[in-house]
Amino acid sequence: MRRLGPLSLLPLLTLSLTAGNVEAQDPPTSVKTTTQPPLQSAANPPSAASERLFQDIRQAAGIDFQHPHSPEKKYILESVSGGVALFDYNRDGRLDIYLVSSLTVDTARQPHLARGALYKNLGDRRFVDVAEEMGVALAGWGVGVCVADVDGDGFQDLFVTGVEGNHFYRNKAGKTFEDLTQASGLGGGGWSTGCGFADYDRDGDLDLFVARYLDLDIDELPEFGRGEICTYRDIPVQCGPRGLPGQSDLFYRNDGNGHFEEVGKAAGLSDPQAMFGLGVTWFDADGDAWPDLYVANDTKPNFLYINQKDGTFEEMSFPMGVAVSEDGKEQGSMGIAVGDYRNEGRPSLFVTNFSEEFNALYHNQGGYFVDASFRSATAGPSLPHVGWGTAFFDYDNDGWLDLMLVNGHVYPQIDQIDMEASAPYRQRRMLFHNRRDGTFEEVAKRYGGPLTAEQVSRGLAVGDLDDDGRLDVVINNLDGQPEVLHNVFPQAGHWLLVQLEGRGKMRDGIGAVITVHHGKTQQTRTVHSGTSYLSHHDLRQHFGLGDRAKVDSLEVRWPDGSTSRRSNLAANQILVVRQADGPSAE
Amino acid sequence: MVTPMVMYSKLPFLRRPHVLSTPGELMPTQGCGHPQPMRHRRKALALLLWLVCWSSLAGAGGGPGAHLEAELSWTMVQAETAWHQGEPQIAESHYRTALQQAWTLRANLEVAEQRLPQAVEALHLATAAASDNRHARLALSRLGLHLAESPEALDEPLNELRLLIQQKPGDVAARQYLIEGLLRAGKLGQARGQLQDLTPHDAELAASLEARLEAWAQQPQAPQALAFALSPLDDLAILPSAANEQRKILRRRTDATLGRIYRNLAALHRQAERPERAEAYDALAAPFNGATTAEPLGSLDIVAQQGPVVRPPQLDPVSLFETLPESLRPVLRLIDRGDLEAAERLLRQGLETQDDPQQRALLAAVLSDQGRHDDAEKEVRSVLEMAPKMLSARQLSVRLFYLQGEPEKGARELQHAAELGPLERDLAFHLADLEIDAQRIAAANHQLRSLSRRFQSARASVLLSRNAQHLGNRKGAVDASRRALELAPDSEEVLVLHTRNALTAKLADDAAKAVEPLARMHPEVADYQFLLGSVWQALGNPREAAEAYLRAVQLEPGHQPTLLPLGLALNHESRFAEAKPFLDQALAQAPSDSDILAALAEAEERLGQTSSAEARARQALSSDPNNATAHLVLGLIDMAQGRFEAARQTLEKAVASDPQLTKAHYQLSLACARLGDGVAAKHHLEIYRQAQEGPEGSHLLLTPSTPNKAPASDDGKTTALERQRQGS
Repeated sequence: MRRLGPLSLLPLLTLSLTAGNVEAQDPPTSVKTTTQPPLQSAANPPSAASERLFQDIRQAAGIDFQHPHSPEKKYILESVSGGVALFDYNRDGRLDIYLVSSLTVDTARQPHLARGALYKNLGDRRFVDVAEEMGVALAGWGVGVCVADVDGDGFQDLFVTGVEGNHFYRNKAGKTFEDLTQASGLGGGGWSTGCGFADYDRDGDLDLFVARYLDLDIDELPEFGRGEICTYRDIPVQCGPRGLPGQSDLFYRNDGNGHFEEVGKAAGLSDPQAMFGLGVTWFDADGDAWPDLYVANDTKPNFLYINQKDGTFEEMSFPMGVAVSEDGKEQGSMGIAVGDYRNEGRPSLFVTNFSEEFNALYHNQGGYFVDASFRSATAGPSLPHVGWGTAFFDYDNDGWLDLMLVNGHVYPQIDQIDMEASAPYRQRRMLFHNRRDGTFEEVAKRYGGPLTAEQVSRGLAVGDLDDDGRLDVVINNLDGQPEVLHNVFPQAGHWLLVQLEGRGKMRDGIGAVITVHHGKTQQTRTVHSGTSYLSHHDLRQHFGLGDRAKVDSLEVRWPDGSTSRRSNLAANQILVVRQADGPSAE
Repeated sequence: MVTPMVMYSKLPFLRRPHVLSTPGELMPTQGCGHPQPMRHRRKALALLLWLVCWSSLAGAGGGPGAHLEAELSWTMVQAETAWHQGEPQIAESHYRTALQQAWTLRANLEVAEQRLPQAVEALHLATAAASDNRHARLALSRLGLHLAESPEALDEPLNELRLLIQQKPGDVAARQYLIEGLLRAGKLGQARGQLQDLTPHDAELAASLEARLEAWAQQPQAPQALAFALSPLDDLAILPSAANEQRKILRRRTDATLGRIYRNLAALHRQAERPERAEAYDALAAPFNGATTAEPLGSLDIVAQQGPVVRPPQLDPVSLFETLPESLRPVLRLIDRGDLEAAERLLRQGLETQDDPQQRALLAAVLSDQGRHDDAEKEVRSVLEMAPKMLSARQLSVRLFYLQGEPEKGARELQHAAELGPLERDLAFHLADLEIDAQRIAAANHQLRSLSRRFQSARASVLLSRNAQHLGNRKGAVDASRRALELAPDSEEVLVLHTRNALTAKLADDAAKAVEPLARMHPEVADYQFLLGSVWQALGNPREAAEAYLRAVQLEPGHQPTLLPLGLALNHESRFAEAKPFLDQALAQAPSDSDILAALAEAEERLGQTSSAEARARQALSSDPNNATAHLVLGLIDMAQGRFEAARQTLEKAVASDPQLTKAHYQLSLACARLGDGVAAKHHLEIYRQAQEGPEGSHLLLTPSTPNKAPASDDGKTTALERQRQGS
């Protein structure tokens, strides 16, 4: 039973959509139509300098998490964490926040100092840390996070990657989490980074991919500043990743009984060359409705594993055009965003990279990708920055996916040198407004506030924290406290938030593709577990509708290939779509 | 009392230095005494002995830094002597060393007076003055540790010390200061680690430091940032215990020396017809014009003298004799005293008893020095009748022809002299000039090689290099300029010459060695930043190339040679929006240049200006059908628009035009893949992948971005450029 929070301000009309049938899931306690004016000019963002977009409400929200860090970052281990996840762990209808914590080399043997935080959303943009009582605080030296309802009980489970092993927490009805790391076989080992669940073999349960980065012995770390791989622009810095041994990746097949088996080699996902894996995302790259996998590798070609539908994958990043830049250069890739930014029904890829390498936007042409980084005008502004967490989302609800990313260098020492081609250690964020013609305009400075604040950011997750139809952003900063960017954009258009409820153990609908039509516009979204940089977005899918007060039609293509359709839906509501128990409507 | 140290006789033939006094009241007198009058050829040795003596005494009252004054004096003598000998490159190189020494001396004076920020400023100038700046960098780092008011402020000097150690692991001083600095930063663990590293180099020092460390660590407040007591800066303070007046005198003399160095460098460049560089040095000299009343250190006061184009050079009479007869010693004493008439009388008396060609030649020289050229010529003719193959007399004859305004005869006589044996320095240079003018390069080179070998002449090596350049002999040119660089490592002219030669010969390593000090010593010169960019480009580092080129156009907007290379480097770094305006400027100056058109097309294509890009690419191909970049641009346009067959054809032309164009291979593999030609796709992907193999040119490779941050080579240790070379 869906429960509205006492402080919910939401005009909530919650519906349940079964295949071909619509039913009211919960009687609405109130119905409120939007009072937001339609966008003045949807193709262009507001130009008023005083226009506000985000407010950092972290302090007022009661979030006092502090990501542990060492000021000098003498070791690469200290530069990579951490992720952030947005999910409703207790099914109270409000999106909660999990922030990954880490250690430093000096505190490596004191794991209790890395205290992850689970901030329960109390409503009215107030949060309280319940990590201790929920049993998810002590995940060791944490790195990344992804979420999925693995057992299909309706409560989302938590997977946290770490430097010395991973943690799998089963959500026990929102009351507490049970550490099933050993029992599930998901402990892994080595330095794990990005993760993501997907049903790769369509057997009705979620499998898990975990990227890994470097193979380091914490007791024998390469010394700061010693040797060529520990110097940058003639100043001593942390060593790596180049020159250090990489680590292969892990892929776990779910046996359906609560246990996972590592089958990376058999599936072709093991990365025998031990690239430096970071960001991970599952998505349908070739349009065959089977989940493919993209892995961002630092300083190496990225991977695109195409699902062969027989339990194996073929690595096709080069022929598909997403391994390296348009010039054939390997890039230091970190985070990934997936989105149909041209509203043409195909998910494209955006990859954040190291400074002076430009972020890559690979436009999905249908069966292959074209590097549109410069032609889309997203590459140029990114050159001085080191990019991390990123997401396509429609910040102004104009019906077109915009793009955001956070930045921050890995070497604090870079501030000692005057580098024209690179921004300093602390770097601002970037927000690209979709101009609807395949290009973007960088508008962070226009909105200012937290967008132009200079931080050393890593994880980024997007979700509607207050269910007001405007997407909020949570950022996990490496050095210091996170930021909770509350979207206060006054001219946001109409919207629709879609929550899927699949069958059996695929309850979250992870891997499903939702398509909505409004007017001449068609938008698609994919439900991802784990993406961005080591992070996890709200699984509910948001659609900005501009000045359209209704959706003409909506279609869900479920992970098993079945579809659900609905038409003539009112805007400004959270819509729950349930997959039919019976035969699928193909 | 300040008096000139050395002055020269006005005799054109017999010009020799006469040391009149020590440099002044700062020179010690006890023990060593005054240097005695000496012959030119013995001057260097005598000065050296005097300086050794001075250095040994310096510790008594001058402090450990006092030897700098003696070193500076000696360097000034070397510089002015070299100039006097017609070696402007060597002179300049010595002046640059002197500049570094003078600024270091200034810094030491500031330290003695506890004016550390001013000392830092002086040391910054010292580090930029010469190619070997290790000592100044070390001193600067130490001052940085002392001046740091926060733990963060310690980072820069600590990093510099780490770099110094990286470049010279055996530098125990740098290791000591690094350990002290780490303790000052409160980094006890790192300091202990560094102690372990120091032990193999100097166990005693390591033990001493460890004792200090442990004693400090046991204090209640330790480890606490900025609490550790650093070693005092005594060794950086000159005359620390002397009266202020003494330091004031030395300061005035140091300033006067700095003024003299800058003025003389200006004069050198003016003489070499580089007026802009001369003006730059004049500007640097201006602040010191008020210090001219003080006597500069170690000056010979000869540098302002400009001889005629064909200058009869100084002739030491001793050189006329293979073995100096004992009977002539009285004559030489008379010459030394300037009593030429008495010398003539004595010589004539001797010739009456026995006619000796050597004595007669000396008589001719004495007569000539009295302005009696006709008499001198008669004596020379007489000598040559007796001994027609007497080289010294033949050379004397040459000089007399020139003195009497008969250069044609002089030139012919010079040719005869050259057949007899190796010529004296100035005559050999003059003959080389004549041969070059007559396009007899081989004959000129014969003289120049002899000069280079016999006199360690940088000037000869420079001329040899230019001749080789002229003949298209790249290896010969670079060999000769390398030799010049060994002799005059800080000469702008030599550094530029060698950088260019090495670039032409595709010897990026050699070019890097020369260009790094050049760009650091003269960061204000656009041409040198351009050269630095060219070297980075040759080393395969377009990122640093772009930064250097950008500095060139910042220094000199529109710097023509830089515009296209800058645009290409920025294109390579994907900085297309930045590249375009520079390429636009370049195109305005050369509207039909196919390389510029192609580069501009590439930038515009990436910036989404497809139609303009296509037009420019086609224009480039109209004049250069094999322009690989233009083909690539058209291929990219085809690819973006899904015209894969057209793209394939175009990209095949690109790789045919430039098989090394890896991005074209990469795109070609994509085009083939789109067309379903897996075999061709794999083929081009393999070529692309092979090109990607090799050293990992990542963001982690070591590259200085600003010249003032680029450490110079020291003792053959690695610099950033060198490390880049090693990695490439």
